[in-house]
Parts: sequence; C-alpha cells; structure tokens
Amino acid sequence: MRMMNRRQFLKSAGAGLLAAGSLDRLARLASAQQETIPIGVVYPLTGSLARIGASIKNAIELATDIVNTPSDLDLPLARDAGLPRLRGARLRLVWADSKGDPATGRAEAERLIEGERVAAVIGSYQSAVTATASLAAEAKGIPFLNPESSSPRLTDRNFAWFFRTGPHDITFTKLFYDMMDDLKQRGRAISRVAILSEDTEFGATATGVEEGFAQRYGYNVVARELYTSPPASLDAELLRIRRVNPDVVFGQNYLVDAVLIIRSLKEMRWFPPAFVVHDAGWVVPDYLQTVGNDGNYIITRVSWALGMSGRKPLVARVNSLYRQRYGTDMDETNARSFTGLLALATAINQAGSTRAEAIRGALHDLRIPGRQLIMPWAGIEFDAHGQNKHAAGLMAQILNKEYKVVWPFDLAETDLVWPAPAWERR
Amino acid sequence: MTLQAVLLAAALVAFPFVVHSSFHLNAAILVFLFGAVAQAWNILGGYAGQLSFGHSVFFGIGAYTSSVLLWRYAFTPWGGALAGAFLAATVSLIVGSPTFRLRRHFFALATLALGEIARITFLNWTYVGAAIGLYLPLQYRNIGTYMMWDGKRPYYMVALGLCALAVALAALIDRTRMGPYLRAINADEDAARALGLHVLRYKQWAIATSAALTALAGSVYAQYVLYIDPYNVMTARISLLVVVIALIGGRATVWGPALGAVFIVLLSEYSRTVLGHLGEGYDFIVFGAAIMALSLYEPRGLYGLVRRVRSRPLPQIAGAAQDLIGPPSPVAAEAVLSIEDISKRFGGIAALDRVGLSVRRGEVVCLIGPNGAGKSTLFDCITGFQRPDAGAVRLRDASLTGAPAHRVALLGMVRAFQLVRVFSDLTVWEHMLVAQPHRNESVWAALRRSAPRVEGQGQALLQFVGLLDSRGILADELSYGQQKLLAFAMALMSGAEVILLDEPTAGVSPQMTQQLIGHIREMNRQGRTFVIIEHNMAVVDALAHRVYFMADGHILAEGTPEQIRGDPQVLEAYYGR
Amino acid sequence: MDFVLQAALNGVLLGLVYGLVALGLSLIWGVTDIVNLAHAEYLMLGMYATYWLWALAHIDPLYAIPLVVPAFFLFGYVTYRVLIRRILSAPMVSQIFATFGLLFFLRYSAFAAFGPNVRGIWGSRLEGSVPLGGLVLSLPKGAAALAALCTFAGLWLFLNRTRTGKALQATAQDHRVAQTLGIDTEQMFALSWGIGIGAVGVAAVFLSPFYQTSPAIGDAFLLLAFSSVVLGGFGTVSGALVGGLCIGLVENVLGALIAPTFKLLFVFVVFIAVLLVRPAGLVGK
Repeated sequence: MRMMNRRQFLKSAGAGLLAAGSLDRLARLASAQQETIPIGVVYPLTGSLARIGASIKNAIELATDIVNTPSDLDLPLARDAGLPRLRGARLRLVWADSKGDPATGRAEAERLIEGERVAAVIGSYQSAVTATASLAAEAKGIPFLNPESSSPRLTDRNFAWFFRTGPHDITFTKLFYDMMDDLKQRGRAISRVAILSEDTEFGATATGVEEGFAQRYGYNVVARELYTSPPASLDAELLRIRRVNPDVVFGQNYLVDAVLIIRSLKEMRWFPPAFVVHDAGWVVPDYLQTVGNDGNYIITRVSWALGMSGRKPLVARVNSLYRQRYGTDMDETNARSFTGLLALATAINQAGSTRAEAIRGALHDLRIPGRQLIMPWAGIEFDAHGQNKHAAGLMAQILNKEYKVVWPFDLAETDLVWPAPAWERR
Repeated sequence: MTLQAVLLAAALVAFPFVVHSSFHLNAAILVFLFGAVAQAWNILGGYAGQLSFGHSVFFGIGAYTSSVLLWRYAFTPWGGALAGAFLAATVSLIVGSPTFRLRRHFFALATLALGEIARITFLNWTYVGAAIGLYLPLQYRNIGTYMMWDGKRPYYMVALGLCALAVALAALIDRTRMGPYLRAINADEDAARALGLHVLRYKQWAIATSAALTALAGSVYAQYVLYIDPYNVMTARISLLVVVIALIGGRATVWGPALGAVFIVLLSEYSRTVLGHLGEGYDFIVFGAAIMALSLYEPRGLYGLVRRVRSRPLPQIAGAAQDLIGPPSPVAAEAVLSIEDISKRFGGIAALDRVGLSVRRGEVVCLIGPNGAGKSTLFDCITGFQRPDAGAVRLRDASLTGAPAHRVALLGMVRAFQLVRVFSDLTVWEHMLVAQPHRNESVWAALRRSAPRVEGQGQALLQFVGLLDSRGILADELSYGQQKLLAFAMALMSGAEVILLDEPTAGVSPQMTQQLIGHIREMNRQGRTFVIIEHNMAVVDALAHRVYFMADGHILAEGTPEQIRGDPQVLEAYYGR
Repeated sequence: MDFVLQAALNGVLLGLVYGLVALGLSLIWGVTDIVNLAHAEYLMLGMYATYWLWALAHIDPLYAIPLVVPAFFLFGYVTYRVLIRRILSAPMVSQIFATFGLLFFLRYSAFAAFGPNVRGIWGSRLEGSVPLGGLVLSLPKGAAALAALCTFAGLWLFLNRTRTGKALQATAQDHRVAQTLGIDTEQMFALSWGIGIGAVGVAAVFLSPFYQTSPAIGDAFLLLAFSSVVLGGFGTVSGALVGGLCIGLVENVLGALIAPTFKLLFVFVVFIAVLLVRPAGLVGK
C-alpha cells in the first residue's frame, strides 16, 4: 500500500518537476475563476522531523477540503462550499518547508506573506521555528496561528498577531501532576520522579516545567537525563534511571529515541512503574507500527485520542475520512493542526474580509463551542496573550496498541494501568 | 578592476532600494553573512590550509556573546559583536595553538570534535540559556543602537558591510606577502619553516583573524534571527555549511567564498520555493552531485571555472634589480659553523655517532659518503628538523642546539632539501617573496608589500639563475632542474650566511649541473658559505675547499678533495675490501 | 557494584559495535589514505537493505548476511571505480570535498527513495536478553559484538595469512614500493573499498535488530567511528576495535557514573587528548 503511494507520488513529483512552471500558471488560471484565499503553511517537510510534517500536511489538507467542499459534518464551515461570508471563496494552501530550522522558517513565512500575499500563516510544529516564523508575521502585521507548539514562552511574548489554539507545556505538565495527585488520593505511593529527555528547546523547556512543578506539588526529582537525538545508545541513561528506582519516569522523546527506549528497556528486563511522556515521538504512527505490543503502557499527554469517539462521534467520522485518504488514523498532533486550520478559517469567515486587521479582530472575538471540535476542549476562545483559554489535555495510555483515555477519571474510557506489568507478565 | 569593484559596490548598496521583497533581501543577507563566514574560514582553511570543521564554535561564541550581553545587561550588540570577536579570537588561540601540531586530517577531525564539545557545553550551561536558547528581548526593536529592526534594509547594509570587510581582508592577504606566506605553509610547512617563517605564529594569526570575523557574522546572525540555541548556531551543520560554501566557491581565492555563498544560499533558498513543497530534499542530491563533480574536475571550485578563461598576468616588481656582484671575500680563519659530537639514534640504530665538523667562513665544504651514512640526518639535526640526542651546534656565537627550524634560518643558516620541495600553487615570484629574510619581521608586517629593496633583490636573483621570465608561472610547471635552481635562489634570497645544499645536482642534466656549479662558485666568491652533500665527485672537485667523508654515522676522514680520494678508509667504504 | 559492571558490560558490547562500524573506515583510510566522510551513509543504506529484506521478503537479519555483505562489497568496489579512483592522487582538500559530496548524495537519495520514515526491525531472532548473574546480556548487542570479533579475526587472517592480504598491507605501507614489487595496487585499492564497505554491511546487518534507521541516522555514528579510528591508531585494523572499545567504555562507564549528558563530551575530550599526546593512536606505531 505504502509502496503504491510512493510510486504514484514519485510519478506525480516527476511530472511536477518537468511542468512546474506551466502547472503553476494553470493553478493561477483556475484560481482566477473562483476567488481563493491563500493561507501560508510552514512546517518541517524535510529534515529529521519530515515524518511529522507529512502527517500534519495530511490533516491540514483534509481540514481545508472540509471547508472548501460541502459535507454534513458538524464542524465549522463544513456544510457550505468555501467561506459563505466571502461569497464562497475557497481556501488555498501555500506550503513552505521550514526544514526544521528557525531561520528558514522565518524566511519562508516572510516569503509567503510578501511574495504569496497570504491572508494568514499557520505553523510550525517546533517551538523554536514557531518563535521565529511568528516574528515575521508580527513585523508584517499578519495573523499567525499556531496549533501545536507547546513552549509557554510563545504566548508570553504578548505579540499582537500571534494566536495559539493548543495547550502549552504548563497546561500539559500540570496534567501529569494532577493525575499523580489523584492516584495518591487513591492510595498509590508516588514520590520519586525521573526525567529522560532529548535536549533541544522542546525537551529542555518541558524538563524545566516538570522540575518546577515537582517542587510545588511536593515530588522529588531523583534523576534528570538529557541526551542528544538521535542517540547511538541510551544504555547509560536508562541504567542510571533504573538505579535510582523512580516511581515514575517522565519523557520528552522523538520517534527514533522512543523506539530505542522501548528496545533498551526490554533488553534491560525492566520497566518503570509508569512512563509518562509528552507526546512527540510516542504518538507518531511509526512508533506502534515498529514496536507493536511492546509499546504498550506508555502514558502520554494528548489533546486528542481516537478513544474519545465514544463520547464524541464526530471524532470517529473525521478519523474515518482521514483513514480513507491516507490509510492511517489521525494522531494527537495532527488533530491539533486540523483544529487550528478550522479555527483560522472560521475567523476569516467571520471577518468577512481578508484584511489582516479584520482577521485579527475576528480571532480575538472567536468563539467556537466545544461540540464543534474534535478536541476534548470546552471550545476555542483566545485570551489577551493569544492563548486559547479552553485548550486542555487528557492523559491516554497505550493499551493493546491503542491510545485510550485514562484520565481525568471521569472522562476515562478504560482503567489506567499503574504500575505497568513487568515484561515477562505481558 | 577598481572601476568594476566600484560599480559592483554601488549596485549592491542600491539593491535594497530597488528590491523591496523580504524574501529576496533575506536571501541577500544570508549570502553576505555566509559569504563573510566562508571567507573567514578561507583565511584559515583556504590560504593557510588548516581545514577547520569547527567554525561553529566561533560563530556560536559571536552569537552568544552579543546576545547574552544584550539579554542580561542591555549592552548594545554593536559593542557585543566586538566583544564576541575578541573572545572568539582568544578562544581560537587557546584551542588552536596545541591543535596546530596535528597533521591535517587530524586537525580537521580535532576541530570537528571541538565543535561538539562546545555544543554540549552550551547545551548544559544555564547562564546562556542552556538547551532552551535565548529569545532576544524584543523591546529593543527598531532602535539602531540595538541593531534590531523590523525591516530588512538595515540588516542588509550591516551584512553587506561585513562581507565587504571579509573580502577586503582577503584581497589584502592576496596582494601582500601574507598570501604567499600562508599558501606556502599550506603547501609545505617544513619547507616554509626551513626558510625562517615562524609557521605557528602565522597560523595563530590566521585562526584568530578567522575566528574574529566569524564571530562578527555570528553576532549579526543572532540579531537578525532574534532567537538562538545551540542547535542553530553551535552545530556541526554550520561548520559543514561554511566548508561547503568555501570549497564550492574556490578556496584560497578572494572572490571564491562569496561566489560559493551566492551559489549555495541562492540555490537552497530558491530551490526551496520551487522544489520545497515536494518535501523530498532533491536540492541536496543536486548539491552532493555538484560537489563531487567539482572535486573531480575543478578543485578550485567555481572561481577556478571562472579563472580558467583568464590568464595570469606577470607579477609587477617594485624596485630595480640590484647589482649582485660584490667584492670577493676570502676564506676566513674562524669557524662560522661548528658541530660537536652530535649523536642521533633511531630505535636501536645509531644514525649519527658523535659527529663533529667545523666550517670556516667563506668555505665550500662537501659531505660525501655512501647512502645511509647519515648525511641528511646530520642536516636535519643541525637545522632543527630533528632533535639530536646529544652534542652541540653553534653558528658563530649562537647555540643552535635543539633550536626550532625557523630560528636556525633566522640566525643565518638555511637548507635546500634533497628532493626539491617547491610550494605547489605558488608562482616562481611568490617563492622569492616567501624566501625573503624574516628576521625582525612581525606578522602584521606581512600585510604590507615587501620593501622595494627586497623585491629588487629577488628580481636580481631570478635573473641570476635565469628564471626571471618564468616568474609568473607556477613552480610546479618548471622542469626539475629549474626547480633546483629556484630552490638555490630561494636559499640565497633568505640572506643566510651558511647555505646547506642536499645533493643539488642529483637528477639534473650535465648542462644544468655546470650552470649550478658556476652559480655556487660565484656566490661563494661573494662570501656565502656552503655545506653540500654530494655524490658526484666531479662536482666535489670543482667546488670543495674541504671534504668530510661519512659512513655509518661517523666522520671517517677530512681533507682536500685530493686527500680524500687517496684515503684508504674512503676507498674501502666505497669499493669494499 | 552491579551498576558499574552492567555499565562496563554495555560499554564493551557497544564499543565492539562501534569498532565494527569503524573497521571499514580504518581499512580504507589505511590503504588508500582517504578519509571517507560518507562512511556512515553506507551504514544507513546497509540498515535499509536489511530492513527491506526483513519487511518485504521476511528474511531475518541473521540470514541477511550472505545477501547484504556481498552486495556492499560490490557497492564499495563500484564507489572506488567510479569516484575514488579519480581523486586518489588529488590534494587532500579535493578528497574531503568528494566524499563530502558523496555524503549528501547518498543521504538525500535515501531520503528521496525511502522517505523520512523511521524503519526498525522488531521481533527478529536476535532479540531480547539473557540474565547473567545480577546483570543482563543483550542478545543482539552480544551477537553484534561477536560479529565484530569474527570480522576482525577474519580480516586479520586475511591480511596476514593470504597472499592478497599481504599485498594489501604492502600497498597500505607504501603503494609506490608495492607497485614496483609487481602488486596491482589499483586492484588493491578497489579491494580495500570492497572489504571496507562490506564490513560496514556486516555492521549494518547486526545493528538492525537493535537500532532503527532513517536517512539522517549516520549522524549518530560518524563522529564515533572517526573517534574510534583515530583513538586506536588509524590504518590499523586492531586500532579500530581498540578505539571503539575505549569509546564504548568511556561513554558508558563515565556516562553512567557522572552524567550521560556529557558522555559524548568525555569521548571527544579523550579523543583530542589522545590526538595531542599520542597522534599515532593507542595501538599505532
């Protein structure tokens, strides 16, 4: 299946290369017939994060099609073709590759704003790239919507043109400790925390937040191991963590690292009572495709889980659309991207104009109710910093190769397994 | 050329007033910044030939110094950039000096490792933001004293100025004797040392200058991007990018690195807009193939391709050719060079066993003996290329025992090597510039042209050996005999009183040999002292005042050529029992 | 105590693996005097080869050796014929240039062909571990270490006990002299590339059961391989192994005892120190 796709892709890519110029002209001709609204999209399409970039691209394209073509989904703008308040104008995505590099991300955002005259920019997954790309939008006075980056500092900058729909690390990390406090009330002894993190902005920021909360919640950080991804081995790190015998291990890890961690833990014949992680590599489909059932019992913060479909049928419907197209399930990262694009489209529609000022005003006034989202949020509504007040997260556990919501307990679809069983009893 | 340069400068300054698109200006800024860094790298890696794969350290130091000063102390980045340059130069001297001992592959690998060490250190150093990095404080936006603007034009000007500075510096190096010096060090460090060049000091100058310039670019980059972390400014990616730019553009050239930056940055920026959405990194495949092709067909890079169509002009020489014919000076009584009981062992074998000899001022002394007698080792030991295990060497009143090679040359004794070692890539004229006397010459003085008197001397010597018309061609392209003549002229150029020649006539045609004998005689007549290792007895007869005979690490006999011919030990050693 | 022993055991196993990765680099460096910057890219391609054999043809890595290694021998041989032969007598800069271009070319060709996905083999025959007193011995790493020792032994026998091997050594010492002795040095250079890249093939196959590949995975190994070669003494086959062992031990024991964040820092500090104090490497002459 994948091979087929690849071959088709290569074929079309080759044709695209040959006819890049003429195709471009065709696209412009087509767009002249129906008004389109260009939206700049900046993500890592090449480089080590290209895999995630590709899945985000899928979700954003699906969301765009939902806006552009009528359907009976109960999502914002789904029922009409295009944006009704702009005479049915359609969204047109203009893609740019950040290569995962902050300087490139910023240059691409500038190119989209000036060269492509996009009405707004959406991106860029990594916090470091979002930081610089949004700077370009800030300088030019164009709205920048960020669905996935989790560094709290992004909204601390008090930018006038920056909006974030998703939760940030403080919200997410608070979940870890609230969950553990809940467990303690139910009689589980938890006090010793170990941290295993990659060492870029993402991992380091989250590590800092985790350590800060540990103090406030009265937990004891007994190990803190940072490594450079991709590591050739994590034996030394894991050995040190095992030695201090933690009650829980927190992880910020990319995909390669995540697979290596599971391998190494299995070889060590040890698994911590709980392994709690900030999504990243742990929620990329390749993770479970590679490790299968050995990947179970990881507890991850998510802002989306397929398991929510029990209470939210909308989730299952969107996911089945996604699955039809791309052959895999949505993941919790690109569900946020999907939602981010819908939020942006809604604001543009409500602005009734593609003027930057009008879109910004609409974003500030934006109210999307929770029932119209595939997220477990009460809705979308930005505070003065541009942060979505209702962004929240859930804790999910991988059980039998599925991400099951396990906390908050009142929303849980299944029981949390804590402590995780030893390898030989799985 | 100057008119072209003025027009180019005017066009570049005018560019941002004509083109307003951020995208194009951004590409231009990156071209200038990376052009400047690549040129900085080129000073060390291209001219001086010390391949650094660790320039990210200097780039990062520049970026971090100005950013930390701004972030923590609200100190203006203009000053911060200078502080960063100074700090980078200091660090480069501290890490460079020991690593310069390493042979080139190893130097390259050591710098790569140093880059990683720096990255890991900064990743864990909370004072500078550790792995989280630094967001530059935006309240300084659009204040010129804080080098922070929303628009691109001011950055463009700053980056352009920096790149111009780098190119101007390279042009200065290229046009003064610094260029030939550094390239000679690149081509053959030992031979440069034998001519009295203080190699380490020039390398230190090159690395410090290179580091300072790189750090300036790092500071501007940080101010431009407004966010830095170790992954962006202190990563091997930066180091490698800079190397690629300089190599593709053309190393050891004035315009090569800038050309490389234009090529690589523009290709990467614009291919991203054309191919980027495909997300498959095709541009890098093209890069890889282009780099391989260039390495095969034009190692001088793109600039080499450009220069292919242009011929080299003959170098202009300042100052008139000087009269070489001085008064004859007879052999003096006192010894100018005395060697006492030099011993040298390699493993269990005694290459030299208490060898002693003395040379009087104005003499021509020949050293003969079978292969493996230790003659070349003796030269090595007295010129600082090998350290003798015991014994003493004196030149006039100065002790040379264990002195480094360049000091021996500075004190007035130079050598020509057995297998001629000309500097590939240097013209004949540049060889003479490298060979000029280096006594009391500071490193900075090398950034000026040589004195007319010195150039006149070089011209006269080239005329003397018959190479003046060939002064514009690469020494590589000379015949072997001509190379030997050049080596001889260089030894004379150095102004040394004592000249050691190691088999000057080996592999040279009979005609050329006669020529060389004539030259040596003439120069000896004017007071130069020669010590010559020679196998050809006809040459020995024609030149030598005295002859030493060596075998198995010992001096076995000493005397006039006739005496030596008749010595039973010599006969035995040469013809066996 | 178990903690240190386990760290040391891990260090020895990983060190042998690093040595195995570095073996080919060292041989090629020694014989042709070329520092192959693209070395780790061959490792990456080898891991892809092993992965696809497993994923498409269900061939366990254990049985992939007879397929992957000859193919990589040929790969190395062809690389020599097509590219390296032409830069053999070029200045060092051109050589660095060429293999650097090769690195980009191979890495992004893999990217274009296989995409950015991370590919890992799960559930091969070489998986899991066995308890060993208070310690655990990783089976795949143990197997890789054993493979490293076997490859090393095989190479040693080949170099010292066969005519061709001796000719190869003579070429390594001085190819001009070797040529006058009637050795077809051209063939020897090509052979060293074949064997060197073939050895990378062995490393790739044995890494596959416990490591996953992606186009940029070479980064994790390139500097370690270089460090192994230089640390042990470049050009000598045993040097790569000794160097790899040192790095594995430094990384794991010092890393585990002090702080893993700095484990690579320790490695590089040792690397530079050895370079400065003993440029010929630990076992070099």
